[in-house]
Amino acid sequence: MSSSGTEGPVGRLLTESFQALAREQPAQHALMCEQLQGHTVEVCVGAERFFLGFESGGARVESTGPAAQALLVTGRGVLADVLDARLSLTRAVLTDALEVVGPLASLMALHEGLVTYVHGAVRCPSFPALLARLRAVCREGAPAGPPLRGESHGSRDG
Amino acid sequence: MSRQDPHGALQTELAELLPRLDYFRRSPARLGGRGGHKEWQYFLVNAGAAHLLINFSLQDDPWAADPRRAEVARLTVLVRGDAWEGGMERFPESEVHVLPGRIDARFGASTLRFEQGRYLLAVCLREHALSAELELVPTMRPLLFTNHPLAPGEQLSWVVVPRLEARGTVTLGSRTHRVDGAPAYHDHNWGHFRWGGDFSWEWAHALPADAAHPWSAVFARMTDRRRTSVRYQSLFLWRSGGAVRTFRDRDIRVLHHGHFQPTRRLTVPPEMALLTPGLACDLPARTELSVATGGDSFHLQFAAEELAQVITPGEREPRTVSVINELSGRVVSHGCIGGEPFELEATGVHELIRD
Repeated sequence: MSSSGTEGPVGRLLTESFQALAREQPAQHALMCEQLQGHTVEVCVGAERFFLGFESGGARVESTGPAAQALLVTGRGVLADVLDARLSLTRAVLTDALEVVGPLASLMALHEGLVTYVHGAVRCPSFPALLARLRAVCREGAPAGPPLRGESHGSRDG
Repeated sequence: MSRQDPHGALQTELAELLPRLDYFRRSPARLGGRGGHKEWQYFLVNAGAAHLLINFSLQDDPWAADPRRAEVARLTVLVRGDAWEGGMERFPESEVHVLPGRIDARFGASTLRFEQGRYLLAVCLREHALSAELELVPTMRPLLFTNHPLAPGEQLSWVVVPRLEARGTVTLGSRTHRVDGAPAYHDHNWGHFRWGGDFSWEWAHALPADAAHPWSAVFARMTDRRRTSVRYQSLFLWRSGGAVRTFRDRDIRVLHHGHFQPTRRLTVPPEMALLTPGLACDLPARTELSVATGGDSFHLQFAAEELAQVITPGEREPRTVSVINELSGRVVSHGCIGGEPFELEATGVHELIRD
């Protein structure tokens, strides 16, 4: 199962999403937990900070935690751009719009786990509503600014 | 003494015929029947500077908890100016009203109806500054294909209306474009199949700038998933309202040239780009169709320009996706059918599945 002790909106939505994944795509949830078993991640999204922990059969989202193996720092606007395909995940990392720090093995496991999470998420009937809420949260907290160079409204990869 | 009006007679005929062919089927699973149903009403409009693609889709969600309430409504509206723009939106059950047996659908604020021989479309996206209000009058006879095999146990049916005349407006951002007598295309597909099954298709159509151009061509090809075996392929030609010639299978030579390397792409829905990162794609830069049989000849060359990808989760394997590639580009075609030569320069869409 998945549990939560975080107060911020991104952390709360992530908790709900882990619960939905466990309920609606249990095989993908189990695979994600297996891929990330024993890994811990400190996540900072803007002013929001929470910790992820994974064990066999469960994912935790908590407001505090011990020193994590990996650190992920980004902003809500970057999350919105990645979700809307204005910015690829690769480019976000290469440009430090999304900073990930940790041992290579942890980062590779995180990426594998993320891919499994997304494959499961796009098959969960309840995810479109969660995604809409996450987009709203990210846009609400995103500073207004010019679009990224060479990319336009919506979902253009260039 | 009465005067014949062949154009008016055709429109009267189509006004009676199309509601009997082109109605929404809806999923039998709603009534406890077979699930896995998919259905979509697809329109292309060549509105001069902008090429519009509209798709009203109803597809059973294979992962829905209740198969009787599994049907998911999505509206895709894309416009090709310099590049593809637009998106896909999904609607909750409470915002969807589709009458089975009728061409009458409401997805949120967007509607599709057929009244007095005209398709009436009003579409708008919540997430994109893109909307259109169009009236499309069919000007060529439809063809109906039922239960064509896709893969073992899976079929697809198809109504194609190769030419319509569109009027109305398309609004993109703050600019409204008037559409007056623009050529358009429509088809309607329905059947039971799962994305990621043992099939792949290729489909192409060209819309000339002039709605009065007498010729229209549609190409469709079905292969196995790996695209190593062509199961069947057809090229349909219409002239002045009616179907005049169909070429099939070995009559048609298809050549793919080069490798299309897009400098950008539109991903629909955008979150699926997380599962298909990058611009690498397995698509031809140019496609050539040629036929020479029974005294008739046909040649068409399509050059790809811009790519939109509609990406859906694979329904047979958990970590796969199916990509419906909408390549837009330029078409040059010529030939001679029944002793009558023709030439066509057009904007085309070449659709190819990759998974």
